[in-house]
Amino acid sequence: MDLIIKQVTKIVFPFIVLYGFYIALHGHLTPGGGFAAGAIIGSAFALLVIAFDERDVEHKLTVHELIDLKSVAGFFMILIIGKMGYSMRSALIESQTLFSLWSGGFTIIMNLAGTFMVSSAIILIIYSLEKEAWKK
Amino acid sequence: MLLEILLLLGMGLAIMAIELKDLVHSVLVLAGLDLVVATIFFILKAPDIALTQAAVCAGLITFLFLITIHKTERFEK
Repeated sequence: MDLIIKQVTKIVFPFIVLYGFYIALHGHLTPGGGFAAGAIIGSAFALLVIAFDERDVEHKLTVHELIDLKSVAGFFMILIIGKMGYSMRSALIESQTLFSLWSGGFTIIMNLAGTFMVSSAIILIIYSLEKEAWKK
Repeated sequence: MLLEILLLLGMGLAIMAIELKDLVHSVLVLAGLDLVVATIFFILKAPDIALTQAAVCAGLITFLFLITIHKTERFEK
C-alpha cells in the first residue's frame, strides 16, 4: 500500500487496540461490551493486514493454533463463569454502582472473555482470507 | 429535522451504492451509509447499537467485500 497509509497505521494501531480494551473494561458501566470491543480490536488488525504485506504481518501474528486456542479458552471461560454465576448468584454477581469500575462482580471477567473470543475469531478469519488472496 | 436530513442522505447513498459501476467505490459508499445509520441509532438514544454498527458494518463488512472484489472482478458489466 501507500507510504501514507503505512505511517498512519503505525501511529493509530495501538490507540485502536487501547480503545477496544477500554470498551471491554467499562462494559458494565458504559455502552459497549464484549462483542463491540472484540469487533474494534479485530478491525484494528484488519487495518494492519490491509496496510502491510503478508510477510510483514506474519511475524506479528505468529501461530494459527494460538489464536484458535485463545478463542476456545474464551468460550469455556464464559461457560464456566456464567454457570458459576447462575448457581451462586448472590455471592458472585453483584449489582453495579455508577462511576466505579470495580463494582460489577464477575461482569468484567465475562466481558474480557467475550472480547478474547470475538477478537481472535475475527483475526483468524481475516488472516486466513488475506493469506489465500496474496498467494495468487 | 436532523433525523429527516440523515434519512434522505442515507437514501441517496443507498441509491448511489447500487448505481455505481466501480465496485470499490460502491463498497466505500456503502461504508458511508453504515456510518449514517449509526448516527441515526445514536440520535434515537441507542448508543450500544450505534457502536456495534460502526465497528462491524463499517469496518469488517467493508474488509470482507474488498477481499471478495480482489478475488473476482472490479468492474460491473
